[in-house]
Amino acid sequence: MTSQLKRNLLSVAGLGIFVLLALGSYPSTNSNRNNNNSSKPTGVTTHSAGMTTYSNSSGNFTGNLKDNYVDFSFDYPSAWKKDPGAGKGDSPNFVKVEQTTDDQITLENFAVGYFTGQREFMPKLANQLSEQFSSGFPEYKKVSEGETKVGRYDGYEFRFTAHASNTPKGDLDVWGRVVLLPGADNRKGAALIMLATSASDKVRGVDDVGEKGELPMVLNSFKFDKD
Amino acid sequence: MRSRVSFILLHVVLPLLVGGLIYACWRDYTLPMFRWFELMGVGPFVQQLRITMTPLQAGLPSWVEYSAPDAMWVYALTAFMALVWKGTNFRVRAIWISAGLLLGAGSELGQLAGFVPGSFDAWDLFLCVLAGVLALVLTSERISFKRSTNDVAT
Repeated sequence: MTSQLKRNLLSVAGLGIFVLLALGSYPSTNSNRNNNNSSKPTGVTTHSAGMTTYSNSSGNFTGNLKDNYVDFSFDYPSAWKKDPGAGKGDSPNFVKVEQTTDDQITLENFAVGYFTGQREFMPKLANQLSEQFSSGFPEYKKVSEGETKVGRYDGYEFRFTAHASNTPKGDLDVWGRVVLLPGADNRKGAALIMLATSASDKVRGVDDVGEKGELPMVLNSFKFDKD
Repeated sequence: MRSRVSFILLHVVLPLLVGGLIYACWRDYTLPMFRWFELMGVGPFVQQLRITMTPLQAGLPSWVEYSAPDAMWVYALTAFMALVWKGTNFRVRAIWISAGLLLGAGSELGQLAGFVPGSFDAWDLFLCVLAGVLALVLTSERISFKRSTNDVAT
């Protein structure tokens, strides 16, 4: 076998391996910033890797959710349950997914609601939203707020603590984190609401929400589809 | 032989590894590679890695997450071809060595022209070209790109 032929074979084999590696990143390698796929399938797609993708679809909503619809998607562990009440009636959320114990105690959850505010008004809107949350959680207390980042999106967040008494697991601490992502020229914004409780053995405090447990994977995967 | 192995580790394996890690840590979980990881039995490890690395994503420039892995792929392929075709006929060598650049930059230009699915991104193109050139510059001390005596004869 000549040296030239050996080199040719080695090059073809090498090129094949490189192309194979590139295929592992297909299809999103080249669709990173403009994924304008308005005819994407509705709802959820389960992957063999134990994750399910939720893709928002405009045909599913009425009222405020329809008026403030935004294309987005995220992945969540397939073991989590999708709340059938979210996205229906007067629900403020397009979707809510949750990890619970066998007796339906929330360990972690993730919801996406609509948000139409401008970037410069986010602190004020965060305060308003915090006021609304305070009526829904016993012993509600906002503990921090400030600018944040989710993936490549700049946002504004606040974190809160609350307390739930007399649950099947006894008294539980509730830790929440709300991230407001402002809209862009071609889309509305979104509010990402994350909750965790002390029933989780991975989340130990409000600072861990979206940082430990399984929520980071969910939060990490969130993206607007028209961007 | 030893220098060839270290060349491959430094200029081929390392860029691919870094680019692959960027994908594994921060890119969409729907990509085929994550199914491959699952088939290889390293899915739980990759999930844990993603959880651990999530906080770093906030400070990560967009180009690192979305453009750098492709550029590293171009770099590694260019360096690999440079090694394989070291000291051979200039014309043949040039074709193979430019494969990474042609595929990387070509796919971006194809997107610009509408031939290739996806959206054109100037950063992708710039980094692909930069990576190809960088691979040639950084490997040129070990691999001569001057015309060999064979070329004179042809």
